Amino acid sequence: MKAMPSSRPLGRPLARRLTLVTLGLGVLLALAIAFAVSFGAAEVPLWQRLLLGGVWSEAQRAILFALRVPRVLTAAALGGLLGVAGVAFQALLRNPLADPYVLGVSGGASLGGVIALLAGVAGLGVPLAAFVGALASLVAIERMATSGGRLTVFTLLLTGAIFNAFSAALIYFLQSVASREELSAIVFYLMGRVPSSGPVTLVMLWAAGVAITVALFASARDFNALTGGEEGAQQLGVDVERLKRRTFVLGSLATALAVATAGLIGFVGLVVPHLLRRLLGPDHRLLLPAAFLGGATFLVLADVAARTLAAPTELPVGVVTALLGGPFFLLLLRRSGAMSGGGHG
Amino acid sequence: MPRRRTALLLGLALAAGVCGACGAPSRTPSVARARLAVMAPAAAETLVELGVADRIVAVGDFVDWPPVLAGLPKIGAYDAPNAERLVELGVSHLFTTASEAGRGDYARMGGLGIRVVALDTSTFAGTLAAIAETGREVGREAEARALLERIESRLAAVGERAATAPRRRVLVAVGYDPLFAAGPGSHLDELVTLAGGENVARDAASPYPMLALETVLERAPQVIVDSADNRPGNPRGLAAGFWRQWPFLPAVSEGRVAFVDPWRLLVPGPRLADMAELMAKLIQPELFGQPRPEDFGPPQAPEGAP
Amino acid sequence: MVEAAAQGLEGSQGVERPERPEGAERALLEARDLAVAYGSRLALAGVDLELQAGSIVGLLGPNGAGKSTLVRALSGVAAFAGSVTVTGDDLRALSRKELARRVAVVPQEPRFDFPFTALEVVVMGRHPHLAGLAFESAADLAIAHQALARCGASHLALRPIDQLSSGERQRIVFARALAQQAPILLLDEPASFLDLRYQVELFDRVRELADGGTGVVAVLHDLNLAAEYCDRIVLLQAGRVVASGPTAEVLTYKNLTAVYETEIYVDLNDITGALVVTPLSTRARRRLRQQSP
Repeated sequence: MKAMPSSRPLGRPLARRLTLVTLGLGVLLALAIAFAVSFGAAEVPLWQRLLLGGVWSEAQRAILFALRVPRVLTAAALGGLLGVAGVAFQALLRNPLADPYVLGVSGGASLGGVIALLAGVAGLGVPLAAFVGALASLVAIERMATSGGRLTVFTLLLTGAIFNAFSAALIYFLQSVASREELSAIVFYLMGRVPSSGPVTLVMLWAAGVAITVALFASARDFNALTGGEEGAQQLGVDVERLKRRTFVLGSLATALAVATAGLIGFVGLVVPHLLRRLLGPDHRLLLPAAFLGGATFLVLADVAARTLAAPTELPVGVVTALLGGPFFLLLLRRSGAMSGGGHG
Repeated sequence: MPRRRTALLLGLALAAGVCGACGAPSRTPSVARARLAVMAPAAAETLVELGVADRIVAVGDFVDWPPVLAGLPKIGAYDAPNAERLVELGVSHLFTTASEAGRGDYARMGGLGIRVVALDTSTFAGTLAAIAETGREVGREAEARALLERIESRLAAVGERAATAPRRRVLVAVGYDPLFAAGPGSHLDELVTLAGGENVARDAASPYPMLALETVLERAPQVIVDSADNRPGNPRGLAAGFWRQWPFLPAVSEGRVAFVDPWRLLVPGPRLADMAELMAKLIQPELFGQPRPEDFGPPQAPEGAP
Repeated sequence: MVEAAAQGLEGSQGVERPERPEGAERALLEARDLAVAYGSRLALAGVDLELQAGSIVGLLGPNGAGKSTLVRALSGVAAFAGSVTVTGDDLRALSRKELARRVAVVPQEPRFDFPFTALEVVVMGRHPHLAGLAFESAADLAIAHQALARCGASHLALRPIDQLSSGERQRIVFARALAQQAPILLLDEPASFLDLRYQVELFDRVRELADGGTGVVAVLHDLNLAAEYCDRIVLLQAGRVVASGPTAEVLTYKNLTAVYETEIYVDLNDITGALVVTPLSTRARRRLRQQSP
């Protein structure tokens, strides 16, 4: 029941469409950000003041500029990172059902974060520990999945799954011996929450997001060629070993940053690439930039919902993405049948 | 007060223990020869206050206060006391918190001849009822009644006096990152109302909600009682601390941010009246006087504890 | 490791030895003493092969003889011992892209993970010619369309590749190889799923390409196709070359029966002038015995 693609441009028309899509999604993201900054648990007359003049109280200024704007911008950067990581891993694993957490780096990150929480480290200590945990697992998994200088994707997948299971088991153990307060801190950390990052963190997240997207974009045609199998791609001139390694590292870095900053926010890295692939086609030259901007928009909107649906109580954004993403994904699967996922070689 | 974290970081593992007895003979628990185990801190304080500390033989992992209980064997975390250890120690009465999760376990313990007393101390009413029930279980009804009368009269006194002053907006914070507050349904919320305050988290969804900071900033609390203990380097007493980043909050600009040790306010038990009086001093100092420095720290050991 | 394993071999049991044509012009593709090992198993050993421009070389042999392995080695995808020279350069000295510009491969069973259109797949054949971040030029697109047209698959251009039949997919990957415009074409059973009509069409195209100067190595199961289209045959058995040379010299009763381990009759068709290869059934063998004692 899948509609036949009426136009899938190549060459210069593709470049034009890329520009169009990037601009369009960029505008969409800007609108989403504007929308998100206007709403929250508190009522702040943002646009009236901006357009009609007047002053904000100190509280309103703090709400806007110390809380909302940084948080919305963080959500955008994280959504972008998760979106491109999703595309990267789906290309690497040649499976549209892969998500950024499947290769085990998120296990190491969440374990690092939980240990830091229990050790009583506060503030930047938790994200830092999570990032260190992620890097450690990245190196360990890459080593374990490489034999004879070759990175085997299947082994990578297995190793990642084992790592995740192992980390989850350790986290369960730590939860079982934690006190009640610690327990809730762990649970909420793992559920995912977008912080209001400071300016340095914001710049770093955005710079990383853009840089990783650009770096992956450089391999976009290689990813396309990879769809015919690793050997087929090699026969077309792709240095597959180098590509696999590069993709794994870049994708894991993006995931590590996201998990370290905000815990485990699910579904963004799965639904956004999938949806965009259905709308734009599987060409990675379109998918990668679209996934960055689309993922950013998705998470910005999910975060508004998390902040406003149960106000003044805040919902963890991971809960919102799961509640949104789950049924949505099922809907996608039903409508596409067995087709648009493609057979796995 | 020993910090639980130390034990945790040393890799605390629940010991299975070797069970010597294969099954306890069923006995009808006699009050005089009762052997008590206490899981919940609030119940522990009550039992000590009622003078039966010497009959306590085991405590939950998180019960290490009053100090007289500190050396007792530990038998597990909140909802999961180790049944084997209970039988081994010959426990006759188990005082614990009412919980859905533990219901199955509690039924099993009944079968082992252990009388399970499940107490709900999440609200004022529950706390007071729990004291009465505890008294009944250990044959100290008279002492319990006297205790309750003392508590209730002090609570009433606080309430009457506080009612004469205009209400102040209050935030009670119990955790950071994210911010957790005391909301409707918690004993802290009732304490705030009793002591002349209006909880800024009054319309939240649960007793301990994750509260949006935006709401706090918007509702401009005039008093902040900060009992969150998960940020090292928190001051003790009246200080701005974490809240100094928002100097426009009335509580900050008027110097009414109080950092109070969590054990002082968060365990609803016999010290309920103490808590109400402290809360009143924090919220309405003009009426009740300023709190003393030691009021911000952990509670003192009860008088005359054997 | 491959070298060590190759050195442990005994002499070939081949029926007819390969001949090196005298005065040959420089070969497009040349393999000398090629050996490939999978773990400890030797899949190919002591293989020599020469491909001239304009010639179609058939790779024949039973399953497991090493035909696909040879294609993988020649396209730089399998590690090998020995030497392979591609249009005069050592294969090992070439970058992957450079190799892909000279050698195009049509795989045996193409499978795709994402629903690219047939045209997008064919355009991927231009990948070796595109630098870094470049998009395809109009010329690249024209080449792709032409390739599709030559395979009679233009009507499939916008269809997602995962919705095509295996026969249609085979034509698409063949078109992709055409689009690569490489002087050397390696085909791994390119017609196994095709109707007879499309088999003939495909190999007619291959013949046209060869006539235009392309060198083709084709792995084939169908001995008659091989007889019809190939100029030279390399006959493999258990990883070794047992016979190599012009088609008529290699496709003999003796060679084929030995390699395929069943009686195979080779005859000349009076009408077409082509070699006809017929595996004999039990009944046919009995009839033959009766005719010639």
